[in-house]
Amino acid sequence: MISIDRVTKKYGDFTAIENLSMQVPEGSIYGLVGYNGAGKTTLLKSVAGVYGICSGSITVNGKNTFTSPEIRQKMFYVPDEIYFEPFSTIEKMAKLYAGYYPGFSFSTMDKLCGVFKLDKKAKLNSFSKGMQRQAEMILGMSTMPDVLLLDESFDGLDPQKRNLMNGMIVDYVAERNCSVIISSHNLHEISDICDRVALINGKNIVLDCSVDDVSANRCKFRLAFAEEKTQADFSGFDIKKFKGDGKIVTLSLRGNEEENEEKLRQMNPLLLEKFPLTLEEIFLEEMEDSDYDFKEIFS
Amino acid sequence: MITVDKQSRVPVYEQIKNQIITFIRLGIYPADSKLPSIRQITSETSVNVNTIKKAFAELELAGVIYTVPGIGSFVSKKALDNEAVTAKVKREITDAFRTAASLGVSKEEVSEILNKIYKEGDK
Repeated sequence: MISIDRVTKKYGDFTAIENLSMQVPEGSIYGLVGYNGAGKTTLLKSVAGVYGICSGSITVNGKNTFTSPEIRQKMFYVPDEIYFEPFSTIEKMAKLYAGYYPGFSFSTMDKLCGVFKLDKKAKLNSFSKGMQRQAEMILGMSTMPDVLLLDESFDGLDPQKRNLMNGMIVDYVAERNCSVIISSHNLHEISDICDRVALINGKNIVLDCSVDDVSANRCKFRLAFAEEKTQADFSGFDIKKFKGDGKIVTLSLRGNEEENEEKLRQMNPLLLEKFPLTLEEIFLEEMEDSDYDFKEIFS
Repeated sequence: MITVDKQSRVPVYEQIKNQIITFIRLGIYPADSKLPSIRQITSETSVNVNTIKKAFAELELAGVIYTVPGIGSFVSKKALDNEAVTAKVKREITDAFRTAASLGVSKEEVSEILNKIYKEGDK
């Protein structure tokens, strides 16, 4: 169990995260989403014990990750920017990691290299970005971690490797009851493999819920009316987003989906369509101002 | 006001085409009225211009809309009787009834739902 309790991290005058709390139980894969520079990497590095935090506490099974080396031996962090020593190979890196992680399994590493078809004697710096990421993931899984922290780890992977990686993470978690935090911009992927998702919007978490409940209490409707409508006609609703051009209106509403639908039907629309919101749409709604008409700039 | 579901299995140009047909059927775009421009739909949906052009081209080929160069696209006079428009509706209704049948819904239950919906419309 990873417990992040009221954590604040500042760089000089700049506050990256403030009073942030979340918990990741065992066997859970937690998706961390947020805009560029929202504080995802800061949070992951703080959990990994790379950064000391200014206030609050981060513990894994009750032990502070910054001050307890023994807990870090059960934890693996895959950074966004991977660095390998010049001339190193998967085999050499494995020996290095085995010295630090008591649980390191060479047989797991061999098998995974076979699955991903990576040559463990080849120089890592000759690998492409996606291959380096696979190599680092293979090494990480071979340390048999209880906590896995992945920062944009699906970046640069081809669809087939992505699929393999997804399967590897899900199976590992099911088998070893590991806790995982994944930061990603691929919201589609997060909804595929994660069971919970947290949305960081500048220093703090604005949405923290199970992936199945993401679209609960919000729904998108598209309506068409015989006469023109403006936003004022929908004053009885909790509107999150309104887009209208005369007779056709698209609405994002909060509140009970069925009640909203019933109320909308009473306005006698010619057409009523209902769409559950995807994680991507919720992300865009929370971020606001993401719609911009670039036509004006380019014309 | 066209919306596109990029995760849908229905091709994007098909989604755009279907929506324009629906709006024509509902009378929101009456005969000879001007359709939103391709450029406008691009801005609204962030879909590639050529994809939208393809949807418009197919509608034009089917005779549902016509284009006046330099001005825009308009709804054809007889769009409502157009085969492409009526075929779409029939296809959708057939699909819906097939789904009902495969879900084990009886003919009586279907007509019960049908009566209820049409009654609501009369109010």
